[in-house]
Amino acid sequence: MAGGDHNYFYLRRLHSLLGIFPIGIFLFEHFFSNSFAFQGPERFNTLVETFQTIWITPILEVAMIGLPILFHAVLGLIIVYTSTTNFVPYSYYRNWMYFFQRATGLFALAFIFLHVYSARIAPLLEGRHVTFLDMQKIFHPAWAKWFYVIGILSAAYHLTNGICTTLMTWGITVSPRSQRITAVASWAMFLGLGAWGLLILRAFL
Amino acid sequence: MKASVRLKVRRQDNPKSTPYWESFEIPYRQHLNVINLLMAIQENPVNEHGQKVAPVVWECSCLEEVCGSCTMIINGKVRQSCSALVDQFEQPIVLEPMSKFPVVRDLRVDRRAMFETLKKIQGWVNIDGYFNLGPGPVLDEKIRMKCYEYSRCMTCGCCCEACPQFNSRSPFIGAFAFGQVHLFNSHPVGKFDEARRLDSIMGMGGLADCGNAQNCLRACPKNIPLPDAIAELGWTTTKRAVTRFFKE
Ligand code: HEM
Ligand code: FES
Repeated sequence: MAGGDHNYFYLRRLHSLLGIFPIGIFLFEHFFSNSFAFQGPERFNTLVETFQTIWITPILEVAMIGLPILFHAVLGLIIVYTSTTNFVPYSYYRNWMYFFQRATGLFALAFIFLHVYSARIAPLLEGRHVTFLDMQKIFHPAWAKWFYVIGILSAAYHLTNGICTTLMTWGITVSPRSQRITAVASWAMFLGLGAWGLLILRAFL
Repeated sequence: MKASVRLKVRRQDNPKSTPYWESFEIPYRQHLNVINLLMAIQENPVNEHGQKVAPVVWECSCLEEVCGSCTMIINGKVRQSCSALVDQFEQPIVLEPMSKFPVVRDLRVDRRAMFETLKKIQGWVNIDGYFNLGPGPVLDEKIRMKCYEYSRCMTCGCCCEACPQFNSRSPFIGAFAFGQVHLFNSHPVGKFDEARRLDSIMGMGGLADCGNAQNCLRACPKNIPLPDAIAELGWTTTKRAVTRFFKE
């Protein structure tokens, strides 16, 4: 077997691992810090300022989030390209989850790109940090609200179903019973995470 | 009772020609199965318009759902045609060749890719020669029962056909292969080649390409717990990867 062929296994395991750590962990952290929006614009703005003036933040942003997502997304796109959908004749639970994992991955990619651009890169180019008011402006058009709703739910689904499949991929949940339990737990987590994200969105409206 | 059975077949004259649909009316009898219908066409190859046509080509052998050669798509879902009872299907009964393998003619496909995969993963137990090796090692009854399930694989191709990851854009080798790797790695003598078998499924198209859609479990006519084998191997291949990285 060719050397590159051998590395494929490592690349796929890395893809799977990165989905949880650091990307999945970051999603929680991101929801957590943005929850300061619940306490009003001042608290939110202070938090952003505090975070962004720590010297290590940009390094962490690139090394712990940017690059891992880039790798996960590039290999993810290849994986999506090699997949097909057949949930019409074979309408089974996990087959639908397979489809949605890929669909939400694609949507999350577009969402993350625009979100990072408008909330981080655009203000950066103007030499400042994003504020509560900026976020309100971003959310202003009706389509933006819907874009965020779907984006947040996509990310939440992609992570929670991804936890289920990661457990299978790594051979932790082997029996149908254990896979059923994690599936139920992941839906509970999806509801929690999705609701949390949408509440944060509402705090800005 | 219905006087006749309506059958619609997706036909293809040779591997390169364009497929087309042809319908047939076959006199109804009780307890007909799909193979009986195809045999009736062979006896009297006349389509619904009364035109004489070339008889439909298909494969079958055991007629008791153990060889897998008669696998085709019936009313949209892949399964064996010898065990497909006419009374269980809505009419017209639509027959199509499996879509994931090259068509040879009509309903007959070339499933050589699966055979090549079995060679690649070493789907057998190596022995040194023809001399008597004495009684084999005793297997734990629990393992033996599990092995029995995987040993029933007949390489029919249902798991490949139903899998969204098994397609012409992907090098994925198909779920049956992992059942066989698991089977032969569980065998006390087969175990000696464990590392080689694991390595053979750790490249492109191997185990890591499984997307956990688990259609293989639903499509397998033998109810082989392929996702169990895949998940088990998910861990053993990971251990193997660590070994390879640090120790070899
Ligand atoms: C919100 C950011 C993201 C998070 C938290 C995340 C997380 C995960 C997790 C945990 C998995 C499961 C891995 C496994 O089953 O082994 C996964 C799988 C996947 N991700 Fe992401 N991901 C994100 C973004 C993306 C993006 C932008 C794409 C690009 C299209 C993508 C494409 C995929 C694909 C195709 C899979 C399926 C892999 C497989 O079944 O083996 N993901 N992701
Ligand atoms: S003829 Fe052997 S499985 Fe149908």
